[in-house]
Amino acid sequence: MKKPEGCPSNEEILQALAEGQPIEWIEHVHTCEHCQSQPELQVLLSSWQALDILPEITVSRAFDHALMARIEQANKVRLSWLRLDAWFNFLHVPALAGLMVLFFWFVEHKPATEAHHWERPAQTQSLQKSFPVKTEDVLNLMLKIYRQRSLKG
Amino acid sequence: MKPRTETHDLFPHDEDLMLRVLSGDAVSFRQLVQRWKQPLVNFFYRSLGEQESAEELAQEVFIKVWKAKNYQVKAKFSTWLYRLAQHQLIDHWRRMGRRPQRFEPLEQAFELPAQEISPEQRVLVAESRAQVQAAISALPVRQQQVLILSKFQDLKYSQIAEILDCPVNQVKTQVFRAVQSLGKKLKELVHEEA
Repeated sequence: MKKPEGCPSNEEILQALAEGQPIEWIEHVHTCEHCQSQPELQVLLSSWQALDILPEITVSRAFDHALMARIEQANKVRLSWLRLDAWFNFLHVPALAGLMVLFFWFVEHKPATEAHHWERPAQTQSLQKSFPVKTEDVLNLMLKIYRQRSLKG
Repeated sequence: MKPRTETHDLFPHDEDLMLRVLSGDAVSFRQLVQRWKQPLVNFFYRSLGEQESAEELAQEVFIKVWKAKNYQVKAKFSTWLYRLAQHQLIDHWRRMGRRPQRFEPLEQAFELPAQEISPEQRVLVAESRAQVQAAISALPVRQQQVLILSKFQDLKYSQIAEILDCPVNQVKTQVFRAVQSLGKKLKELVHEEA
């Protein structure tokens, strides 16, 4: 049987059932011959209805009391951060950080020792002055050595 | 399952109560708890299958409501509350490492009025409930969630989309698929018994 134009899709029928509207579609399912002859739709509708068999559970009587106790406990934890004595437990952290800052400051700014005033010996300075050697001189030297070797055979 | 939210002055809107809670009004908070504890515990129960855990998680959500500072009346209070509940549930599953595969039959859930039905019918109904519950818990997480929010918490698709942070069309498809799978599962069970 061909689906008539006015028939909503199964998804739309399900949405109408879930949301309680549009009512026309819900009524349509009950009156339309085509929809009633659709096995897939019928399975969907009976499955949807089958869910009604599940009962609601009742919240236990202790729920409110337990909730208020947990909130009180949470508030206590939150307030404890505001108390001065709670901070004493964590004093070692800023104290250690302070000590480290002092230590590094001392290392950086300690009085200059002999090592800081070390000067390069005079000999090294003269050696350094002789550099850089001119490229031409090096080439001439190499040429001389080469000639001497070639003369010796 | 909808909580009472009358518009009468004596029964202020959830959003108004929540605004008072933000300024530390404990009476408004208690009113919200009274209105929402039943739906919220049932929401967690449908997802977890244990009343004790369901109540604990619902309490966690209410503690968040009490401590909330970022509430804005943009969406409905129920949407905001279920969003908190959804996050709480995901955190719980993450802590537990997995979601429960089977529901423990809860005595309370299988209580039936003794006068109305025979002992045989009682057993049949209890079995049917267990089967439907098992079929729901066998669904993929997303399908299970949309089905619970839609069928048992009476939320509109647009609200569910906001809670789960997804498009409305996706909710539509997921509900459809969930009911379809449920139908197949129940059909199989019926055939097995026959």
